[in-house]
Amino acid sequence: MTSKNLFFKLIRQDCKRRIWFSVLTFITFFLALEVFMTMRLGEIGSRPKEFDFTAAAYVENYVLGKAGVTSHIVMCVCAMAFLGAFFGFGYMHKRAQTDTYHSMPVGRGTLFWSRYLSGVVQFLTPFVLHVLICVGIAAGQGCYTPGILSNALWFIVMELLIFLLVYSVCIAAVCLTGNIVVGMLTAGCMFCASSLLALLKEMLFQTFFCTYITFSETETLAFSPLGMLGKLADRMNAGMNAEGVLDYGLVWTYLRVFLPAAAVYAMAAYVLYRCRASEACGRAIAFGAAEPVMKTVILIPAALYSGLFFGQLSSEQQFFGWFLFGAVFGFVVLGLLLEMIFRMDIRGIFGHKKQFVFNGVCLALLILIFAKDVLGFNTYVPLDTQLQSCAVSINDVMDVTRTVRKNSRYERHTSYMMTSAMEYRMDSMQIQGNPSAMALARKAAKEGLRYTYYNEEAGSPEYQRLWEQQKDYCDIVFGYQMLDGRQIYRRYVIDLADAGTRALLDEIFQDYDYKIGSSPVLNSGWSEEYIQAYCRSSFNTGEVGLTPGRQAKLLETYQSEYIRLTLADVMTTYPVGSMTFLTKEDVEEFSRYGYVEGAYLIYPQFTETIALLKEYGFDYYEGVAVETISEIRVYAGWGDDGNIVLSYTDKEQIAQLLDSIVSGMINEGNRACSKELYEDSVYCSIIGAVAAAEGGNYYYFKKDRIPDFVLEESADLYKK
Amino acid sequence: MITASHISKSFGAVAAVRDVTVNIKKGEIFGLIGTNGAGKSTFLRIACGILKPDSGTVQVDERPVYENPSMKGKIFYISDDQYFLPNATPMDMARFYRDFYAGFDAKRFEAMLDKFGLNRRGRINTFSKGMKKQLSVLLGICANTEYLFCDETFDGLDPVMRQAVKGIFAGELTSRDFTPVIASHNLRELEDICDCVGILHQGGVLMQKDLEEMKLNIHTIQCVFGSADADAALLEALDVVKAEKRGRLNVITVRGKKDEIMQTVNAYEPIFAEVLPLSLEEIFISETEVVGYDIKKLIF
Repeated sequence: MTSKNLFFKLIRQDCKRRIWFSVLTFITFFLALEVFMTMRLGEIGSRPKEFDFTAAAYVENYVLGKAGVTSHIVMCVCAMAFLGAFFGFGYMHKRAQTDTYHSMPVGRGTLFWSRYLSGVVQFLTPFVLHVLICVGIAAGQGCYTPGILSNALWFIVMELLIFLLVYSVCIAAVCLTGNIVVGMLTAGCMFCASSLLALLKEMLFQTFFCTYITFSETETLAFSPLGMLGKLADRMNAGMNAEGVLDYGLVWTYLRVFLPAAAVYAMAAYVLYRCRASEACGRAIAFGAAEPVMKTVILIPAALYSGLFFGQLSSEQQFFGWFLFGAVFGFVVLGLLLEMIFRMDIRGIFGHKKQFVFNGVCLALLILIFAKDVLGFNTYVPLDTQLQSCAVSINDVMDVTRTVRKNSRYERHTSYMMTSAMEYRMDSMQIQGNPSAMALARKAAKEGLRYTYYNEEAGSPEYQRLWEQQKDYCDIVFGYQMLDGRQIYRRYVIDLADAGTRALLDEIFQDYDYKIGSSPVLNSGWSEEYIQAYCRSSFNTGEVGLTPGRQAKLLETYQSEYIRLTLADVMTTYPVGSMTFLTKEDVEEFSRYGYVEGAYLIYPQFTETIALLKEYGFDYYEGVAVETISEIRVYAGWGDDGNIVLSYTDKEQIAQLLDSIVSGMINEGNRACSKELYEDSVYCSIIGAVAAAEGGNYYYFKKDRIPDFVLEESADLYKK
Repeated sequence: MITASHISKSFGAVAAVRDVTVNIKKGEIFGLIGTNGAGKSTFLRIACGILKPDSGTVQVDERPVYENPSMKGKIFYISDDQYFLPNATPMDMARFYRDFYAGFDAKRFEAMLDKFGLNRRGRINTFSKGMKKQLSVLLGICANTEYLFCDETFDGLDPVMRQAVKGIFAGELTSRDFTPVIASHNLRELEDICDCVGILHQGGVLMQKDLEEMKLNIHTIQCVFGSADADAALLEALDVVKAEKRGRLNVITVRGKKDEIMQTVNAYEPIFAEVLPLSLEEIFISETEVVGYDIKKLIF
């Protein structure tokens, strides 16, 4: 006959028996929360100017916010979950304890859930206490804010969910194994399985598929705790606004995934616990059927990692040979090691020859699939009938990168998400009904051009041949938005010297959707409130104040002219300058760092824009007075003694040089299509009171416009 | 009543219990005898619901035991390697078991601790092996379960304590429903306490009989005959378990009633014939020898 309320008695009994766990949790979080927080508050109090935030903001948004995922707190929570699981359920690894508990008049379900809950109680009680003490300390030090209590509650919920997830995974690992060492290894594998697999996939795809490109947020696998914590950390970063205030509501959009994930792992652990035979203690793996599966799951990725490791150590030409060596070496050594661990006997290493052969065949097939691209990854281009739209990003052609503050993937108004021009275009561009886009994709996939890296000495015939062959190569990325909702990305290399490619590229560049989708300002900038346009010509800079009316007019004018701009214009015309739209936050950032990304090129063809900006106060054609320049230094390549620097102080020579150069700052982000416009081995800097030189003092020479005196002098120096 | 019907259990390639069928009646002390590795512990672990048999069924009072807490509540299992909570005292263990066994008699436990001279507040990890065994038995007795499974429990007890425990068992048997099942290879210990014994050998049951009946049904005879023909004829006529010849002296272990055996022997007109008493140990050795377990090979 069993006693009443056994479940609660078991919880109480387990709490008493494992009181040390609560004590350890108490001490750990005392150090991690109160002590750490008090130290930092002391620092903030004594040197407030060194910190961007107040003590109150620190408590609210860091101690009770971001630290929960991105710092020592989450490590402590994970460590406690690990200890709680192993000491709560580790009895299954000892026969005497297993026999005692399993002979008792208590159902396995009751025993499991009572222990599970007891572990949670033992973690949560001291943890909550410490969080409340932290709030108390903050209040005592005058750092109490209305948001602290709600953040404290969110913080407790978040840490509890993280604990439950890791705790459940570790219990599942304990139930799956019959030996504490193997149990710990299994828990480690389960903890980071998805992250390791994602990394392996990434490395293999990058190594073997030249067209592979990914945007991590969409591709990350996250079914194990480490991957999920990584995603949560990303979401935490996205959830912080410019002032560092954390929005838990946004974090919750992902955090809520932890609860079902923890439930799934807990149920898996429960099922394993129920099915686990008592005699399994002492064995490496409690379930015989799981052993070959685990071997395959561990062995094949590990062998591929080993192959990649050895391959990376070698040169590119020898990569595959060393990759094969590493894969075989890793497979054999780890295979034998696993057999030894599973048998707990060195004599058992050849125990399962069939499994060994099976895994070997699987590994060989995988290597074949990757090495020979058996599945046609590199040549895959979706059919037009499968496609909803596509995005194209031509690398280094009108690249405009900036912090995306609106309509980011998290729909956060003040997100700090940085996106590259390429990523922005993949997100925003929706080209439809333009056959040139898919025609170029198919042409590029079919041609399969790749950069060849060469070790030959510069100047050798082979070097020269490859240089000639590849000098007009350019990366282009396609994003296929499929009708079934999938997004597929591919990166190709195209040759701009190829007339067919150029014709297709011209047509894509002329596409309205391409133009609008390629630029944040022209796409979503209409709804942004800009207060300033920062203008830069080769020798001058200036700020133009913007009102909503001016902003709309400037955007409209720029957009209409930009849409008319052809690729041929870009490739044959020197831009006269650039323009950057600045929000209030941008202006603050600019005053702090002297630079904000997102400069839009102004071409001579943009006559209306240039006129409008002149009306607003900045003239792109205003020159620079030669008198203000004391010296121009020309860097004419490398000689035996290092960089060859030529100095010119003569005003006539300076005037000639000014006529031949264009600021490098206004040519950033447009390098691919402007190679023919500039000399690539000679550049210069200006010494003197030139405003534009302050932000970036390097100038390119226009093609074939290097003055004779520079050529002669540099030639003399080369001779010497 | 415990009914084990054709139960088998293997651990990997090792068959620990093979097709064992045993019936343990209520109120009798059942001894489970077996060589090392015979499957005694495995049988007890199956019988008290720790292990699930690969095949066959175990029922206690006609209900299955495995994953059946209400039936497990009728059983207390004392393992050969009993687990005590870390740094626990006897009283801690009493509280531990009291949560599981509603009928646990704490007062009686305290009294018995005193009677056996075990320190109530002493750390169990400082106790000797024998003291731990005593404590296990006391916990098992005070749990007041109908069935008590003892795996090699008597092995660590000194003679005085052994007698004391036997006395307690006897007392329990007269005062309540109590059925102890004692597994041991110490045959002398079981001989004077068990009502019924089952002999396990290499995972199978050789025999299960009432002890007295077992003793009455197997005998050793020493006899000398005038001719070798009579020796051979006698061996043909008897249900021989084992036969040895030392010079002209025949030492024969035979199944059957004493009178019937002597009648058969006398029919061959022996020069000398007598029946020797057979201890449980000798019965065990004889029975195991029949199935190829040669004890002499192990001893010498």
